Amino acid sequence: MSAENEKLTYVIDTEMCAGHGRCYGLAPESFESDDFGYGRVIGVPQDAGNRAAMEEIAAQCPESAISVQIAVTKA
Amino acid sequence: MTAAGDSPGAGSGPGAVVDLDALKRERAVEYNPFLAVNLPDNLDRMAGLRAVSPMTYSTVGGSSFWVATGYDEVVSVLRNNNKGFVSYPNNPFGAPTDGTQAANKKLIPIDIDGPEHRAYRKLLEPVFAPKEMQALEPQIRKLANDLIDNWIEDGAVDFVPGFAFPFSATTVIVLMGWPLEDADMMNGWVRTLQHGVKGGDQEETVKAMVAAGQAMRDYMSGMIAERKTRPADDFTTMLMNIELDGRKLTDDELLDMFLLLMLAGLDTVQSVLAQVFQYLGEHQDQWDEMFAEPETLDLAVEEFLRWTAPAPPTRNVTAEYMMVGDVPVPAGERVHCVIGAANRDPKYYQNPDDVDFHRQAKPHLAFGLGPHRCIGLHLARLEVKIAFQELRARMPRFSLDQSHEPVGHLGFAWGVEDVFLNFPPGQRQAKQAG
Repeated sequence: MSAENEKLTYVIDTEMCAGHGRCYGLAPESFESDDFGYGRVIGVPQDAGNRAAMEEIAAQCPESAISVQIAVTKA
Repeated sequence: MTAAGDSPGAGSGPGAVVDLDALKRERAVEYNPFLAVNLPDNLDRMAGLRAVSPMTYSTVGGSSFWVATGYDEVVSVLRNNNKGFVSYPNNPFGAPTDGTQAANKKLIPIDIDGPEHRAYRKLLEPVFAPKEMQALEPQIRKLANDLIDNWIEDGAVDFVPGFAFPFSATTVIVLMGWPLEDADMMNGWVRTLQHGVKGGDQEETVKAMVAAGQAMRDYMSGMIAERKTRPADDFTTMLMNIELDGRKLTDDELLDMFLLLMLAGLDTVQSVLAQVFQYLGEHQDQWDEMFAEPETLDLAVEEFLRWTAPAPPTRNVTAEYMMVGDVPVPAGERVHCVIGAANRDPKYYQNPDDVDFHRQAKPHLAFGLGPHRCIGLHLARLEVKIAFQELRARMPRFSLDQSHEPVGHLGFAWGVEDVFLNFPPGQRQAKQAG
C-alpha cells in the first residue's frame, strides 16, 4: 500500500488518559466519552492528508495520551 | 532511577552530582503563597522567578518549599502523582499542626493517594461524567438567572457577592439534589466560613465560623437522614450507596466529602468568573468576540481557564528523590506548583499575558494533570459557559467601575474581590411572587 492510500486513526493510551475530555470536546466526530468521562476513539480512519489536523487535535491532550497512527485495515 | 523529568545528560544535568544546599542558596526567594496581592503583580513576579529558574526555593515564616513556575516542571510533578509524589499535605507550609483545622485529617479523595485513591476515583468518576453534568444544566441556568434578577434593575453590581460567589457556592445544591430554596441559607454559611464576620474581632469571628460550620453539617446530616428513609435519584443518594472494601462511607466521611465538593468548586469557579469579568469590563470587544461565532465560546472558556488558573497544588516527594527540571528534590520536601505561572510559560505561550481565543498552544494546566486532575472539570466548564451565556443575554454591555480598585489574594485558590460593574439596567425575569 502506498503512503497516499494509508488511513490514519487516533489511538488513546488508556494508561495515560485521565479523562480531561478535551478530545471529545474538540473533535466529537472522532472521540466520545465513556461512562467515566474518559475518551474513546470512534469514527472511521481518516485520509493521510488529514495528518496535520489530526496531530493538532492530539497535541491538545493535556496528558499526551493521544497519538496518530496508521490504521491497520483488513486486506 | 526515579527521574521524572529529563534523562541524565552527558556530562551535566541531573546525572551529575548536585550540591542541593548550594542550589537552594543560589535560588533562594521569599515567596509567601498566602499573600494579599493583585494577581497580575504576582504573575509578573512569577515570571521574574521563572527567568531566574523554573525551580526556585522559598523560605518564608520558618517553612521552606520549592516553587515550580515552568510548564515542564509543573507537568513533571503532577504527572508523577502517586509515582514518587503524594498530594498530602496539599499545603506549601506543610500539614497544619495547630489542631484547629482538623490537623492530619485527610479528605477523601483529594488527600489520599495510591490504590485507595484510584478506587475512590473509580466510584466518583461516573457521577461526574459529562452526560451526568449536562443533566444539571437547566437548574444551573435557573440559578444564574435568579441571581441576575437580584441586581439587574440597578445598573450596577458588586460582581463577586452578587454573582461569582453565590453562583459557585450554590451549584453544589443543584449537584447534590438539595432544594434550590436553600441556596441563600447555604450562601450565608459559606460566606461566614470564608470571611468571618465583617468588622468582628477574632473571638466573634471564630465563634461565628464554628456555628456556621456546625449549621452546615447539621443541614447535610438532615439531608443524609432524609435520603436514608427516602432514597432519591440524586448525587447524595449515589454517594451514600457507594461501597469500598465491602462497606459504605460513614456519615462523617460523607459530610467531609460534601464539604470538599462544595469548597473545591467554590473558590475556583468564583475566582475564574471574578477575574474574567474584571478583565471583560475593560475589554468589551472580546466580550462581543466570544459570541460572534458559535464555536468561539468553548475556545474562550478554555483560554480564560488558562489565563485565570486559580488553584496551585503542592506535592510531596516520597521517593528517594524526584527530578523536577534540574533539581533532584529529596524525600520529604515539597514542590508548590504555580499553575498560573506554568500556564503563562513563554516557552509554550506567545504573549502569555494576552487573552487570545484562537491561540495554538499547549493544553493549559488549570485542572491539574494525572491521577488527581480535577474531578469536577466537566461541571466547572459547564458552569463557566452557562454564566457567560446567561450574563450575555441579560447584561450585554458592562464596564468596570473605576472608582473601586479590585483586590486580589493568593492562597489555596487565588482570587479577586471588589469587582464592581456598571451596565444599562435590565428587567427582572422571574415572576414576582404574589
